[in-house]
Amino acid sequence: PRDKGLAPGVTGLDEDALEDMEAIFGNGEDYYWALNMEQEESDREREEQ
Amino acid sequence: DNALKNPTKRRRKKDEIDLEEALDDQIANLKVAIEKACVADNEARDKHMAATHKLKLLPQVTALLNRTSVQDAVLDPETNFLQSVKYLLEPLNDGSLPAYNIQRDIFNALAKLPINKDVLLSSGIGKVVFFYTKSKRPEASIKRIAERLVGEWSRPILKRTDDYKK
Repeated sequence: PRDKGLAPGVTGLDEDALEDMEAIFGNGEDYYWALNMEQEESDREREEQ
Repeated sequence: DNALKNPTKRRRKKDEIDLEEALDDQIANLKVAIEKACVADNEARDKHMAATHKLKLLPQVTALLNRTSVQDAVLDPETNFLQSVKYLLEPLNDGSLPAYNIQRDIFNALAKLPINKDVLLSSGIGKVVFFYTKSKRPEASIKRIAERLVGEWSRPILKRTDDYKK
């Protein structure tokens, strides 16, 4: 029973709030492609140096 | 007396409706223009040409976002003008960000608008703003505004959790 109450206390978020946060700010996948391209570009630049 | 008053009232009402319709048309036209400009800019980038179509629309977009008298229409989740604003901020197909002026003017305008949860849910603007906090490409001043907006927009949602716990 202690575990049940622990999760929201630890994250400070209930499920509804988590859902809203994800609906509003995304789940990290929306612009992952652009961040990925950015990373590849900086890796390439580092290799060239 | 009434015969004199009523026509004036009706007239005023009609003028207000005309103005509202004109504003709705203006917003609808601008939304279409933005979508076309986004496509045109991506095509220009593919051909290694300068992407200038969105930039040309920027004065119109910022004028609308900064006009407090039309805020209700601009922030109406049904009109969903902020979805088009999101398209303006999105990275292009080659991963590059839109022109700095676009980022600066739009982020500054967003920071002044009272954006609530409904607008955030319908527009998806929070997703692109969150992306700006993650990307290394934006200048520090832009990232600062993006981070502040994410904080401001999440506060009421996180606060609700606090209230619920109490």
